[in-house]
Amino acid sequence: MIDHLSAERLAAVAAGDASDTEQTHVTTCARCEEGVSAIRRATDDLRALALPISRAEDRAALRAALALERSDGVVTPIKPSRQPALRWLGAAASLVIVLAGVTAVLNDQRKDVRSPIASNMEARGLAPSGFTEESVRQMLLSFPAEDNMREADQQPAPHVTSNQAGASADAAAPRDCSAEIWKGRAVPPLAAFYEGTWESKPAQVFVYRIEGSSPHLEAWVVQPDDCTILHFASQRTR
Amino acid sequence: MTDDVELVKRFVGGDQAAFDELVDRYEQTVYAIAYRMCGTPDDARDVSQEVFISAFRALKKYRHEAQLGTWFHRVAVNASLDRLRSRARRSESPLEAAGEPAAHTPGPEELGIAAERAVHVHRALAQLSDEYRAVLVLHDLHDLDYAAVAASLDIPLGTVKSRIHRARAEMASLLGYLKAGEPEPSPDPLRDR
Repeated sequence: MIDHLSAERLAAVAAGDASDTEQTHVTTCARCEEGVSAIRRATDDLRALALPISRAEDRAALRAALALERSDGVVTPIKPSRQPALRWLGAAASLVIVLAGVTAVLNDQRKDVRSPIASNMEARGLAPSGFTEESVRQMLLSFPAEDNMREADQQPAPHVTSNQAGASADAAAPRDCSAEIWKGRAVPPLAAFYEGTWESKPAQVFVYRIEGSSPHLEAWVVQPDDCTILHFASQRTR
Repeated sequence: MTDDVELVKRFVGGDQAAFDELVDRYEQTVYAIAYRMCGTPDDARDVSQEVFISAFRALKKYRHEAQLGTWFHRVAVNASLDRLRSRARRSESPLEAAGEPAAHTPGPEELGIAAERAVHVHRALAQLSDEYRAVLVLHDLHDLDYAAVAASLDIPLGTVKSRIHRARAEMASLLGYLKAGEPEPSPDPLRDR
């Protein structure tokens, strides 16, 4: 004859890991039998928990982080392969993450162009010195339509949008915002181009690679119909 | 489906797409482990990134001594534990951090049991010690057998069994199924160390 089983041994019985003596005891002891049932119920509850599924923006952020790891801090859009749409989302996200990590440089030379952007950042609760984690997430969320994204090397030029499908299909013919952005100055090399939405409006993202003594990437988010600048950020590169 | 070993070999050989495939294959598992270990989607996201960045760096030296799935389980649990320790240093309790799980992931849990019950269970899980939570997450939520849990956590098989038994008993107590007067969960000597 054994005393009542400890909770651990009750759990062992419930799991079928107990000795024959313990198993037999439970069949003759109402209190222990009830304890085994309680543990089985708790285990059933636990097992009924569905496995959580990561959010789309988390998956994009993961791929962005990996893109950064691959590129050692320099944006290198992941080339499309078996899952082009996913790759595009990752590429867009990588841009965002890179830009989010450092100071948003407001260049005095083009201050007239960027002033409204600073206001935009401020309105969104963003300091000009950088994005918050939440703002990065918001930007990721602003590009949910993977099919709407295009990479620069898939287009003759970023401003050639007549062949673009998706969000801009019903919009007015986009203008050459690249020229608008640079106000007649030499347009630097385009590193990436994305099309999607910004705050529910059709938007294009131009990412330029700026060379020189302070090489960096600049991202300009513009409205395609009138080239209004919606957002700006920059990221130093090596 | 290409097996893990082949994918790792291709990745080591420079095939980046092979690593992408491994990410696709293990992403949800790692996320789910991290979520249940840490209690919040934000922690799960950060841990997932740490795990796969670690994988990106480490797989080039991977010797295939353990199954890749086991390896990912282990790294996911360890990264989660690191995050929990970091949180503890900031005096933030896991329970507080896991305060509103249903608000973040209402869909999947509602499919399993009533959302309110799921929140209760989730919170009870968060109140367990890290060691107990780890074995339950792997065994009861991810269906790893004792040996796989032992391999994933690098602990003896007997320790896995006893931790699972104690953890389940404590869960029953936290959920109110083991009432006062019934046997209390046995003390875990590991927790006093």
